[in-house]
Amino acid sequence: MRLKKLNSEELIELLEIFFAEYDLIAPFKVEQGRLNRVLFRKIRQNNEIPSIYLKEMPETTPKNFILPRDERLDFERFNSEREENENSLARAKTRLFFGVRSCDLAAIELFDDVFLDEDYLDPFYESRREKNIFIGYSNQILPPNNFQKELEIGYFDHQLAPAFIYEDLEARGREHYWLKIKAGYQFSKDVEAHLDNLETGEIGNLEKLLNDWEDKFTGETDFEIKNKLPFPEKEVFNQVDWQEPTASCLGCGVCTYYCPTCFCFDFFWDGSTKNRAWDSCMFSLFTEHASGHNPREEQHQRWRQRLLHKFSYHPQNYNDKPGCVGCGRCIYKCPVNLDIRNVINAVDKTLVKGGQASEER
Amino acid sequence: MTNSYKEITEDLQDIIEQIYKQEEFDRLLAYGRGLFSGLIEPVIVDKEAELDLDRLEFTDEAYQMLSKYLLKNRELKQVVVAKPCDTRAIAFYISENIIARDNLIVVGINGCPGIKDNTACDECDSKNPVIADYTAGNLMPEDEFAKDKSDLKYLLSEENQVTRKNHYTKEFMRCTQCYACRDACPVCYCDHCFVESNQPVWLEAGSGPEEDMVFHLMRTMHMPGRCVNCGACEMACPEGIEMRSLTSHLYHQAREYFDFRPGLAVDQKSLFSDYNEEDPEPGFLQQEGD
Repeated sequence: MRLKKLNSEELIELLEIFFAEYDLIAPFKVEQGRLNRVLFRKIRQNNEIPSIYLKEMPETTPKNFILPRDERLDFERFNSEREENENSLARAKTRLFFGVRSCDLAAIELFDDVFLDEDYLDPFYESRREKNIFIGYSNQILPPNNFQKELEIGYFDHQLAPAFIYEDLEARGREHYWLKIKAGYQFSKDVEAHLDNLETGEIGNLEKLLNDWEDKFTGETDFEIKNKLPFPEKEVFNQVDWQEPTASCLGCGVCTYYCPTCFCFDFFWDGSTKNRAWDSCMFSLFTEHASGHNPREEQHQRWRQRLLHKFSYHPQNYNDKPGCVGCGRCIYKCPVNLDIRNVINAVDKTLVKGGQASEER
Repeated sequence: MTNSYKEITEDLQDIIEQIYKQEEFDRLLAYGRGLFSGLIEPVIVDKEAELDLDRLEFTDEAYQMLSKYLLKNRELKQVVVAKPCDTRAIAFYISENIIARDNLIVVGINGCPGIKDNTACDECDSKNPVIADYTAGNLMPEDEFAKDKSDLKYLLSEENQVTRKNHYTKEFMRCTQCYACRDACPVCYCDHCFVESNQPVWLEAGSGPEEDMVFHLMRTMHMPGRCVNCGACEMACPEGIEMRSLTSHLYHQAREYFDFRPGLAVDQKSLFSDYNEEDPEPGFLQQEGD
């Protein structure tokens, strides 16, 4: 493991070198209507680099680039291009996502489990997933409504990121940014040459810093999940009062569209080509049959599906890993501030009452 | 003068305590602080369910339209905390026979101090409830809230068609078709929205400037004579799209030409079912030189 200390100018220089080498994608702060938003954007010019905004958690995630909202599924073209050039993507530059939070990296890992599964390989996802580098980011501010710790997702590292950057917002100069590069990982020659010029940091100091941050985060909320995942489907399905905690749901798709882990989509035809676009289980059309019958007639039933998919079905299928990374986006993007933690809490309480709680978690 | 959020909150808690003692009802709709998030959220509880009265609150973040939730359970007797704009939506429901007056206990907010970041509050022309069984806060004299709408530059009515089209194309490009604007809107209550119709298909799946435009313009066309100018659509939009400039434009036009504002009385006739020979005929019906 290597550790480098950087000041703001050195970080910008480093990003300029990244930009020359890769397709650089990073978060920016933009004003849209009444909203001040932080969004991931592809960088087009060098002079955009100083405006990269890392402090707050971005609203969007690399999901928008890897599993886009709209996609043409042109198998014929896709396959012929692959045949022509065995590695057709070799022509394209590697994409470098800069400033990705650990929870969002966990979300990409979750997509990999689903879409790169040997039995159900998704070639379109696979082609977008190739040639990506993620550089993680963390600072001492816990994003609003974040509960990733409850889902056992650490703040300060993730296996998908070969390098992680830490910003100490209270420090100045070279103590401001810390760049950690994993053992054995080599960037390209140019980047490495630049890295050599940077001051090396003490691992112990960084660890102390991160421990301080983690202590700051603990005790921020009273939220906890007492039961082990996956939630037992049958008990939860029938015993929980789904209506009470979800009564304020309007049935819009905001929670799912901004969720870094939701991946349901809808197929449709555009002339003779097949397309897919994001869909949402919160919509009444999601399960409507051609006959007009809808097995999930009411909004609370749709909520039950959403929660059970994330905390029962997904962990059942993928080694107890929840289908939620606790980033908190669905909570602060919700137009009525419906909190998924209230719903989890309702399930948890019902299970505890029914004696389903396991001894340990 | 408007009331303070604290005064209103205290009044609301007292009133609701009183309602629990005196009134027969099935469900309460109010505002309260989220258990974990600390954000203001709708509190929707049955009468029998436990309720911590201290949880109820009214702040400048209580932007959700509780009137919308009344529609979900029209057959129940419901108590609703209503901002003045909510009461207008409720009066509109009653005038349209959507909901029975007897099924409602309206707790209106007098002298509404407004909602943070909601641009509709800047041009609000009803700061007292239209209908209410109980009221929180002091009534605000009508002459204190301005009816002046001189500075509504965002309406773009002075701009030419091309500028307007470009503006809205750019604005609607961000639309993700979550339909939160429609879902949050208190007067969007069709049983079956045209976007969910698949026979015929009005709106193709997938994103595209045409689809976005079709949705927003068709929604706008359904709004004149209904929109109470509450701003819920923009407050709900996760992309910060300023679609209210369209509905607001029609709201102000109906007021200017026909002195019509929806939801002012429970027996109000709708804009399109009431006709007077003296009515002006603006727009394309008006000939050059008329």
